[in-house]
Order: sequence, then structure tokens, then C-alpha cells
Amino acid sequence: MPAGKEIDGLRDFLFEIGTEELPAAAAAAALSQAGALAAEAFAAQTVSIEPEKITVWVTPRRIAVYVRDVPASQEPGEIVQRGPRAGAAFDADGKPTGAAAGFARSKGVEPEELQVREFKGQDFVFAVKTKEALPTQAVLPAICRQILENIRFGKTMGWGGGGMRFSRPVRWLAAKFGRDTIAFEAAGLKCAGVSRGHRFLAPSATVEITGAADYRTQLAAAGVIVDQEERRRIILEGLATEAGKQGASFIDPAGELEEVIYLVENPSVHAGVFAEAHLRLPDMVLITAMQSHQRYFPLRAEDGSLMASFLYVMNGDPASAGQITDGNQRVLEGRIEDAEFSFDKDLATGIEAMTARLEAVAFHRRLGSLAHKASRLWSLVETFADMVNLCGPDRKAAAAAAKLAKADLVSVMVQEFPDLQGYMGSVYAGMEGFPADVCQAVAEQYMPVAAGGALPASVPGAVLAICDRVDNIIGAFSVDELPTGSRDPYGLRRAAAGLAEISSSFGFDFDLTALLAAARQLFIDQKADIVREEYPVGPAFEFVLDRIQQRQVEQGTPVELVEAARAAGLTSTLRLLLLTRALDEFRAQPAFEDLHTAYFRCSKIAAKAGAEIDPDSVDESLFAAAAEEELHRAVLQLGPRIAELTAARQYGEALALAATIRPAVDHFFDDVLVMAKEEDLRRNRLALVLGAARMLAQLGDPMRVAAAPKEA
Amino acid sequence: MQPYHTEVGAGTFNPATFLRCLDDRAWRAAYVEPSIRPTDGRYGENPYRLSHYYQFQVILKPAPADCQDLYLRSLAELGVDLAAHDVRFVEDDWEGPTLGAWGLGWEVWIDGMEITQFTYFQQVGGIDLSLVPVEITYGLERIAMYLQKKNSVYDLVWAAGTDGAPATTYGDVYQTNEAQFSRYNFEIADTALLLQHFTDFEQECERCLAAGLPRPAYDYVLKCSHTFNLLDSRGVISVTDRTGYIARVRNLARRCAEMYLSLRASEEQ
Repeated sequence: MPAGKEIDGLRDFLFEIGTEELPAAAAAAALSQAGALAAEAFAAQTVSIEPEKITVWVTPRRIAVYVRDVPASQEPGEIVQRGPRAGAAFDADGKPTGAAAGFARSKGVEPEELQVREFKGQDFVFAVKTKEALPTQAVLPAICRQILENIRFGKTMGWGGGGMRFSRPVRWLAAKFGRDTIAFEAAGLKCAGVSRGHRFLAPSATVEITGAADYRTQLAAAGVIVDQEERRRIILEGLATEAGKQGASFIDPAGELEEVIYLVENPSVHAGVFAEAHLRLPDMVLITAMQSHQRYFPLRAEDGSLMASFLYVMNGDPASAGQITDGNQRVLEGRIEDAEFSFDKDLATGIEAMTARLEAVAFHRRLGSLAHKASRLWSLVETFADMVNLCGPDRKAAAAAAKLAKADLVSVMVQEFPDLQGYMGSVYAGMEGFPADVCQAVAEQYMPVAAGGALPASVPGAVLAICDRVDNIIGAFSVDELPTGSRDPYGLRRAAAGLAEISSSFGFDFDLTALLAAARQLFIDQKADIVREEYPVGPAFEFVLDRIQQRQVEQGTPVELVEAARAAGLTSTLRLLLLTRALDEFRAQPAFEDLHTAYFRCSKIAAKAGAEIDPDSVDESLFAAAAEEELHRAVLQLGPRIAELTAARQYGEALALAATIRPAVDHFFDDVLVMAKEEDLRRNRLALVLGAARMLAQLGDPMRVAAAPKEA
Repeated sequence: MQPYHTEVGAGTFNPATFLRCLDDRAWRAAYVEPSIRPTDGRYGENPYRLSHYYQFQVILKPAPADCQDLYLRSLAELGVDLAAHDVRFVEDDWEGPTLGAWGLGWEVWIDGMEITQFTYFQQVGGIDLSLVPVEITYGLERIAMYLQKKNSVYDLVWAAGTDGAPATTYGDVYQTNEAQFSRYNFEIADTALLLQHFTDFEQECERCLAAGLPRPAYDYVLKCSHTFNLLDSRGVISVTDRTGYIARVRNLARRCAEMYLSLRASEEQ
């Protein structure tokens, strides 16, 4: 098989960077970059390879770049240098001028060899030299160095390796081109053809790589599965098999699998158990004890109940699984006992006592204690419930949940496992007999936990989640602690986006500026130490809109569309999202152009009208042309109908209706001179246009929108 | 070397690590360090949490290229059959805010149990280290629990009994201490006195620095740090105040480090 390749002069290339154990995130970073870096490095050296023949393998202890079918030499290249214009380079007889001869001499070519080529639409002379094509082997050290030196990590360190920085120390380098070893020095190391196997399973400490194509097999023999996808498959199969043996299925709510793939070089999956008695603990406590830190996979029985067993991925010798499992079980037992200790302490305290303790814990040094927070939350829930006409059991549950919501922040469990905030409160409340809907709201108050995460499922949970976020946002604005750059210690950006997502998912149509103002008033009532002098509601509202805009843009909505909808000045985020969607649909229709034109013509003139002109002051007795009458009638007829449609949030229909004003607008501007000499006429016409512009502007600014591309 | 003579939270605080890591002279030291962590106490009721426990601290400067192998061989020396266990280096970046120090490294697991912290220091006392040391901190109780296969630290055999007498356990030696110190740390310690001590120690540190004596000054950094830990366990330091206290200790530590370095530089001339 290699014979065919050798006829073509093609060989495989391998470069391995041997490291001390990389963090999983660093391994993922290397995996995402190394392929492109290799392609760039080969291109920079004019060695022609096919990008799809680059493979990157990453384990905790190595980053390997493998390229198939690499030619034996560089592409013959040209070194091209531009000289004077062709017109100045040759005389009437076509002989090189002095300028051309000088240029040719300075570049080391004969004047007769100068070539005329086009450059930016004009002819120039060029000195063209062919570059000698070096053997690939000679440029591979430079290619390797370029890859090694350009992998970027979130965090890097020095270790005395020739001044190099990397995620963890680089301890060996290996490179092969076919069967040849590529020798060079980098990072204070001598690159050779020698790799290292699994720390504990390899039969010998080093592995002499016989050829690039043999690397993967030789490493497998040394106990290392270099291909991350193969490790993933082995782990997933192992998890399924081991779970199947117990008639169970494994779960991975924390998404540990992605990390585990990069923690092992030779995975095998094994099962362990813990004492059945621990099953009295809430599921999330057990799952957190198994998943966080230890990265074990919990098992659920067919009926959905958690089992007193777990699966884990081992990097050691499967023959020793017995005692390794034993050790892991002891560790987990200890962690669960620790959690149980905390849990029982919390139960002994009780949620009422926890609530009482909130007074002693600061929410923020200027914004009072957690008890202050809980009290504001309760008031804000009442305000919000009025705004969205929430009544009955949902309102009752939301208010009751607000009082309990922050109690678990002083529980031992949440101090040990901060991710369990909300959840622990709901468990403790449930155990003390609080109604299920109250407990659920407490559990859901921090959702969505991450961008795109699950939203609260219950109305009281959604209400609580919105009010908590509004309080956080206005609080941060009041003390001038806003997110800057990559710093967002209170997670306000996520809070703003989550707020809008929940509102639209639950159809909460409310004036966010009013809710922010109410939240602000609560801080004032509590005599919080507000440092910001400027009224914070406007900026806080714009902050939320900015986050909504960014989220929409991330999801593929063109930015100008979001800006167009924002121009409508809506204070309900639900309405803003609906109008954006309606504009997106409407811009694909022919009527969009009518709306665009009508808006353009009216708003252009309206901008010239002074603030003193009142659009409601149109005097019909001053009309001089039929077109004035027509536009006035159109505004009077359409206005209330558009208002009705927007009140019902039927923005699509409202846009379509608004677009029907175009003929009246066109006739008006074609027949009537707005800027009449007579002041009363001028003012009357401006008022008329202003009224039309005002009516259209409540549907956003169509001039910011490009019409949707027409279907071909 | 020997443990330091005043309370420290970890072997890193011992001047044999903190000060000796700063300069460009090679340094290797190993010692047992009792770690005093008031907030970690559990009244002797929790089988894993202690307010007083032992670390075996190793500092190697510069870090040798084979330091991971040297460490693994030390485990083998302790009786761990490496091939028959699952030993892993699991990412754990370390930061000591009161010391202005950070580093990258791992916690070492044996069959899922953390037994060692392994850190390449990058900065100490706010100073970037040009000669990178590696700090290896063995958790002695954890390793002993592992080797003796015990589920509670208090069941560890401290000394085997002779002539059929029962063994003396870790619990025999330390459980009452844990109960008493937990009560003291969480309930009894005089917070007004401690607050006064913190300020006094801070001022004494300043006086030492003014006299050009970074080593005694550093002793007072340690005393400030321990006093802060006690105040913290008494629950009288709010979340925001914490940051302020930590910054005060870090500032002193940084100035000790800077003065130590400049004196070392003049010694060399």
C-alpha cells in the first residue's frame, strides 16, 4: 500500500506535542485549533496538502497532528516584485528604459526578462524569479514550530521550558515524515521520533515511532487510545452496557462526559455502589455528590428512581478494577456522608429559622441584607402580579415563595454546593409541608441557569424569576456596579436575557420600565445606600434591551431588524419580540415597500417640524387640496384600527394595514407643498404629516430594515 | 526542615516556601506542616473535616523536568502499587489570595480520592517568578486513610498496640481537640480581642518593615492571617469585609516579599 504513495512521492506526517496532564478545556481548545494551524503552517511553507487529510488527536498527555499524503517537496513558487509602470519602462522601440534597467538590476534579473502584468487596472513591469522548491523535510521543523507556538489557551504557565508558555509543561516532542524522524529544537526540548505510552499501562516508558502511519497503532499497543472519538465511543458503549446490566440507564445532567473523554487515555467503564440508606437524600443532592468533582454517572431505574449505584470511567488497568472500584466507592461514600451531615444539620435548623438568619447576611454592602432582599422580592411580586393581572392560586404561591426564596442561601448544603441554591430551599420547604406550587417556584427562581437553559415551568416560578432578576439589575445600577468587558460578577447580562425569555414564553405583557421603577422605589423605601445620582430606570431598561438585541442577533435575526423594532419605543419585552418577528415576516411581502416609502416620506418632513407643532391640531378648514383631505381621512380611519390591532399584539396585521396608507401619502406629497409660504397652511400640513408619522412610528422604523432577499 | 512555629493555614505559608520561592537561587525543602483552618472544624463529628491536620510539603525550585515521575515514585515508596490503581492528575489551579500567589497544576487522585496538591507557582507575594518552583503538598491523613483503608480519619491507627493492647487511633489523639477547638473557633473566641490583635499585628508588621526586617515582618503577616481566619470562623466578617481584610494581608505579604528580594539582591553584591 505505501508503495503507491511512494511512487507519487507522498508520505504521511505526524507531529506529537507531549505534555503533562492538560485540563479538559485546554485539550478541547487544542483540538479546535491544531487542524487549522497545521493547514496554515503548510500553506505558509507552500507545501500543498488537502485540508481534509489533517487529523488531530488529543489526550490528556498529547496533542497529535497527523497529515496524510504530504508531497515530498514545496510547490515551485514565484517571487514577484513590482517595478515602474509599463509606459515608463519601455521606449518607443520597445526597449527597456533606464528606469526599467535599474529596477531589473536591483532585483537581480536581466531587463529583457521583465514581465508586464496588470496591477489594479494598470500595466506594470515585474521582476519574476522562480523560487527553488525545498524538500518538505527541510521545512517541517518550521511547520512544527508554527503549530506548537500558536495554540492559544485560556490560561498559560511558564515552567522553564525555553521561555515557552503553554497550558501545562511540554515534556517531549516527536515528529515523523513517513519513516524519517524530523529533528529540531523547541521549548527547550529536542524533537525526536520517540513518544511515551500510558503512564501505568505501557510495557515500556518510551515508544520509538517507526513511521507516521504507525503512530496510532503503536500508541494503542502502549495503552493509549489517541483518537478522542474512539474514546467517546468506548465510554458511551461501556456506560450503556454497564447500565443495561442493572436494568437502568445512566444520566449525565452536568455534561461530564465531554470532560471525561479528556481525562483518560485508556477508558474502561465500571460500576460501584453506595449504601441504600443514602437514598433518603433528595435526588439532586446525590447526583451532585456523584457528578461534581468526581464525575461519576448516576443510574436511574426504569421507574425513574435513582439507584444506589453509579458508573465511573477508569484510566487504570481493568484487571485491577476490583480494588479501584473499592477506592472510588469509599470516596463517594465519604462525600455522600458529608452531604448527609450537612443535610441533617439543615433539617434540624428548619427553613423558618433559616429565613430568620437572613438578616445577618449581607446581600450587598450598600443594598442591605438577604432579609431586605426577600422583603423587596415579596413586594415586587405583588406589584408584578397586578401588572399582569395574576390572581388566584398562582399569585398566592408566588408571594409565599418570595418570602422563602432566599432562605436556603444560609443552609449548610448550599454553602457546600452553591449550584443547589433554590433546589435545597424547595426540598426543605416541601419537607415542612409547604404546598407543592410554592416549593416548585422556589426551585425555579434561578432558571434559566445558563443561556438557552430550561425555563421555569410554573407561573409562580416564572414570576419569582422575573422579579429576582429585576431586583438584581436595578440594584446593580443603583450602586454603579455594571458589567464591564468580560466581567459580569452578578451575571446581569444573563439575567436580562433570561428575563425577556421568560416573559415571552409565559406571554407576560407588562411595562418593564414601570417594574424597574417599582423595584427602584423599594430600594429607596429600605433606605439603601444608593450611590448613583442619575435615575437608573432608563439606562437599566436600555441595558435589558441591549441584551435582548444581542440574544436575537446570536439567534440569527439581522441586527437592523431588531433596531427597527426597538425604534417603536415599546416598554414590553414581549411586544418588542412580537414586533420584531412581525417585521421579519412583513419585509418579505410586496407591501413592505409601501410601508417603507410612506414612512420615509412622512418621517423626513416630520423631522423638520418643530416640537411646537401638535399633530392633533389639524384644522380641516385649512385644507386646500383633495390630497390633504385624503391623507387626513386615512390617518383618522387607520389610527384607531392600528391601535386596536397593536393592543391585541397583532403586529403583522397592523403592519399590513399601515402600509395601505401609501397612496394617500404619495398623493399628498405629489400634489401638496408642505412648506407653504403661508404659516397657517404650513403648520397645518406639518401637523398632518406629523400625525401620519406618529401613527407609523409605533410599528418601528422600516427604514432600518432591508427587504428580505427575494426568492430566486 | 521542621514545621513553622506559628499557626499557618498551609505549608505554603512557611517562609521555607513563601520567601524562598521568590529569588533566583535553587532551593529544595521538605517538611511536615500542621495546617490550622478554623472554619473547616466540625466538632470532631465529621469523618473527613478537620480544623487541624497535617501536610507534607515539598518545594523544588526550579521544578525538575521529571517532577511528576519523582512524585509518582514517592507514592510507590509509600506502598502504592501504581499499576494496580487509577492515579490521575486532575486540573486544579491554585490561588492564595492572602499571599498574592497563584499557580497551575493538579490535585492528584488515587482511585477517585484526592491525596496531593501539585502546583507550579507562577506568582508569589505579587511577584512573577522567573525560576518556576513546583510545590507538592501531600495530604497525610488522606494518604493514611487510603493505605489503611479507613472510612473515618478518627479510625486511623496512629500507633499499633504492643503486647495485645489496642492500637492508639487518630481519634484517641485528636478527636477531643477537634471538638474543643471547633467550639472555641465558632463560639468562644473573643472577637473584640481578635479584631484588636489584627490591627496590632498589622502595625507591628509595619514597624518591622520600617526597620528593614522582612523576616520578622513576615511572622506578623502569618499572625494577621490566622487572626483573620479565626474572625472568619466566628462569622463576624461579612462577605464584603472579607475582601478588605484579605487585601490588607496580601498588601503586607507583598511588601515583605519585595523587601526580602531587595535584601537578597544586595547580599549578592
